[in-house]
Amino acid sequence: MDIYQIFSIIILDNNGKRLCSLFYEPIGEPEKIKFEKEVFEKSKGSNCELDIIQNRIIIGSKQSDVWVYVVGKSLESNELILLDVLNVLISLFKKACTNNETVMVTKKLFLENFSTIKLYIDEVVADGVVFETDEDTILNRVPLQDQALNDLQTGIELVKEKFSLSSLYSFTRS
Amino acid sequence: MGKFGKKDDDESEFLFENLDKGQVVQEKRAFNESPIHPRKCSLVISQFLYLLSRGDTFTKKEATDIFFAATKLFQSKDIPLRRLMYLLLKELSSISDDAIIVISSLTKDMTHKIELYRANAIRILCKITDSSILPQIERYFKQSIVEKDPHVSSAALVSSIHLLKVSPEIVKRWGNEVQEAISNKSNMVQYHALALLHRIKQHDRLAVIKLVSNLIKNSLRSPYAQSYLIRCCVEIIEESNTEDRIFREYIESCLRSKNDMVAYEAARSICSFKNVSAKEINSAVGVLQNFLNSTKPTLRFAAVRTLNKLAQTNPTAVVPCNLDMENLITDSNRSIATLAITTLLKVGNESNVERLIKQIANFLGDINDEFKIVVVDAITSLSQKFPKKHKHLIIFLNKILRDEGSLQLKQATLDAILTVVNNIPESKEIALTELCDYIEDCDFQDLTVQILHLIGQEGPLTSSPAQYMRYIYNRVLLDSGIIRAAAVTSIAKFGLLYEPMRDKVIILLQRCLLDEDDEVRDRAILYLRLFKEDDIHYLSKILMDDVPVPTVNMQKSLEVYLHNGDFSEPFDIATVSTVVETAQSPMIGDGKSPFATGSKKSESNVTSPKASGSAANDQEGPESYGTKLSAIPQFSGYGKLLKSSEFIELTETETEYVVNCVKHVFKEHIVFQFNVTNTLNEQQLDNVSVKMVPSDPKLLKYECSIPIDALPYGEPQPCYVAIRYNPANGYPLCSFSNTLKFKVREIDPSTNQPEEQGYDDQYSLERMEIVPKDFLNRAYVGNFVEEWKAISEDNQLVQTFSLVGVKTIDEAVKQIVKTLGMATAEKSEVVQPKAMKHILYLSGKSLSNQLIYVRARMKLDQSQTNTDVELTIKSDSEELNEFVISAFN
Repeated sequence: MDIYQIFSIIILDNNGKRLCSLFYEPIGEPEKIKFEKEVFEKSKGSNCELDIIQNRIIIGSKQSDVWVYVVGKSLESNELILLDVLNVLISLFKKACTNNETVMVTKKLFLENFSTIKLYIDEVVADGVVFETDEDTILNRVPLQDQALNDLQTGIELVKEKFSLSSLYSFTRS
Repeated sequence: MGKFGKKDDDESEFLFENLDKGQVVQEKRAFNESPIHPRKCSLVISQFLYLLSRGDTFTKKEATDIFFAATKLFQSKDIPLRRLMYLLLKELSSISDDAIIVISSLTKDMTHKIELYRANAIRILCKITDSSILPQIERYFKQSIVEKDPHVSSAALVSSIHLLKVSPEIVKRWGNEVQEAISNKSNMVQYHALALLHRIKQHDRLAVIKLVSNLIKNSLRSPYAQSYLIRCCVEIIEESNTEDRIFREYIESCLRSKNDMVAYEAARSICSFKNVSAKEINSAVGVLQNFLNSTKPTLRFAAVRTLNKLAQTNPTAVVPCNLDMENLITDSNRSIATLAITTLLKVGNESNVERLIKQIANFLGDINDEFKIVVVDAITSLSQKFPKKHKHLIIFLNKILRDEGSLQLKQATLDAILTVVNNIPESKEIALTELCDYIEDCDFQDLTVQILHLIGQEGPLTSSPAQYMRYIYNRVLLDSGIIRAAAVTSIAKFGLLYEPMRDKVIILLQRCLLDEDDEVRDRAILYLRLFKEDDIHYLSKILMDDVPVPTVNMQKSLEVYLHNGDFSEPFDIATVSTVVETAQSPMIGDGKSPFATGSKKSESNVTSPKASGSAANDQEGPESYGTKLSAIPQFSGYGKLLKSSEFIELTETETEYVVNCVKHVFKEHIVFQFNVTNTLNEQQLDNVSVKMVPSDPKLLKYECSIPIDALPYGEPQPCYVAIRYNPANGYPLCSFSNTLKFKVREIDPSTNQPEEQGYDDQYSLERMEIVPKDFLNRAYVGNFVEEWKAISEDNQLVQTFSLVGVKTIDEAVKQIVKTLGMATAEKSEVVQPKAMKHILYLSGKSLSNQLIYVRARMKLDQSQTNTDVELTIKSDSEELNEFVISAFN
């Protein structure tokens, strides 16, 4: 019996190249790449992956040109826990990439929203322990910079820099 | 346009993919700017996160620098930026040296009014604290655990689970707080609290039972917590043999849960019980049966996987699901389909096997070759279970053979047929008839050749051999040279094994004398001549005996023999190595091996050649040793090389210096060849030698040592030590302690040249022994049993002993073969699966060419943990017998 349910979360592109991988056990980079490759080779040609590789249960799903896999810790893993994690991840990825639920996650969108996705994964799994799978709760826990407000702020910052307002202040004050 | 700013059109579409680590590391100065630009910093953090995830390695210094710089962001009040900062610090904390510097900032955040700060600060803290710091912040942890906010509480609980590994004593003091957290309104907190509490109390069985019993009554809400509780119940039931029914009842009640995760956990727990009532198992299987029909592939997978496992221990319990599983045979998901079929075949019984096979045959057209191979394998194992059904199995396999398919599939199928034929003699005739039909229209030359071989081998022994001749002779008329040659051999076998047909065979062979292919004519001429001379003994040797060595090795050895140009002694097949080099491609497909037979099955199954352990030495076949050694002046006077051992590894394969050894035995000398590999690219080794200290110095005399002058990185080279012994005093059986001695010269990274100055160093190697096997060669005998009988029992030595810890016959056979290094005879190395006893025949010869015959009778003892062996050795010398037996002392 183990609270550490998740061995790794692997996200690959259409060529099996890593977009983002988290392994929750200390293994070396070559082993990681080897494992990813094996997982990818097995899932080619299907849209939904279910397999057992190296005595671990793997559940994966394809989103246009992005593959998302959740790898269980052992053969004892409860597939439905892995599925729960996978579902919430994919749903969150969609939220991170687009406001439109019907649009699939693409590699381009994934990389453009990389940090948000990393934050979401961090909230779903903590070191191999399932941390939270309720979507709304997670969205609340990951505050995002408001795009419009942000653009405005950056604009102001740029203007400030350009006119060296801050140095002007310090000049007048001194 | 992406969120991370503008990009040029000619840049990669994926702006992150081309990130350069050096550049990004420079960007960290953004963290130092004042005021902090949240957006700019966020972008830099994202880039770091991407690099880390991509697998770029950061040195300790780089990581520490970035870590330091990032701590500046504690000043920012921008919440999204802070969230990103926490993630970066957490990822770097394991690489950086001085992660401890942030402890005070994090401790401050643990009491911050914003919950998000508290939760994330705790999650980093658990990664960098140790037993010395934890007591100082213990009270914050306790506070956080009982916190109402689920984010903070979960973070504290999960962090405590990790901390249990670091400071179990301290975390165990938090039991009361954790207990309180179980009643938190959040589902996840409940789960984390339960898991932590269970772990804290793990070693106190009564406390666990009390905890679990209480929670069973409390009805947890979280499906995760319920699944965990089910596992706790399983643990209690299995370990404490409790009479209390509440645990079983709880699991059973969970079967009715609306949540699939919980119901599944309950069902598979029941399936795993050793003692289970029919009622329990039926309701569990019922739940799984529902899953089998689910639209979600994962549910179907989970169910069929559990049933597959259950089928091993309790096949009858699975039977109600048969119909549902038959529907899954055509499931679009390969794993589900595979599991379904293997489960069905496991539960299959004599009465439904036929129907099952028909069922599978119906969907054969819909599945790919790879999956068909799985089916073929399953059918093969079925044949062992239900030998009476061989007819259906053979017909089914033949159908696969005839349908469209890849060579790989066909080969697997043919191998399966051969396995069935070997195991079930009654299936022979029907298999041969079907195969004869098949070769009339077979597109694969290799398969035809293998089938012709089989027909030649088995056809003459059937009730009406004559019927096969037509099919074979058709091949002579219609096919290519390689097939014609195989057919000629096959025809000759009929003449040999079935006398009434001999005259007809001779007529057919005569017709082949004008064949345009040399090989076909040569074979025909040879067989005809032997038939005419009535030299049946020799004919049978040529036709029936397999070449006892891999053909590839044979070819190599012959080439070496021709190359040497010394024909004063005839070529001796015993010098050919029998070790199959797995890196070689299997025989199929090269069209050069007309003798490929079913017995080569293991080779054809090698789809991915395994990398050989001693890759560096693979190119050095044993055949070439003799030439190489005699070219070394010091050894040129030692005479003919009598025996070379296999490689003996003297180091682990992943150490700084990798060394293996080959023992070369001459008439009065032994040369130890040490192959040394330097795996450190920052140094070169000079004057490399091995110092050997014998356990019994009286047995031998040191002759000379040839060191390696210079050993650069990555290129294995040999050094040698030679000793002398007096064969009149017996062979020098003793062991050596070995030390690698050398001078290290560092490589100057600027010039890539070794530095002038170096220092002496040494490295201990594993011990090595000289064993009887080093003085025994393989020998091949035509008919072992006859020759065994021919030697009187006066010249035999019998000894019985026990191989301790050898639990299977197969293992025992391998061990005996390995210890004696002799050739196996009469295919006696093949052990029936699950055999309790076995007889192994070995033949070999001493270095002075005295033949040795060994018979090993073995059987598993009553405890089935050891193997008893009775070894009988026959040769014409008592001393030799004693010497052979000493291999087991």
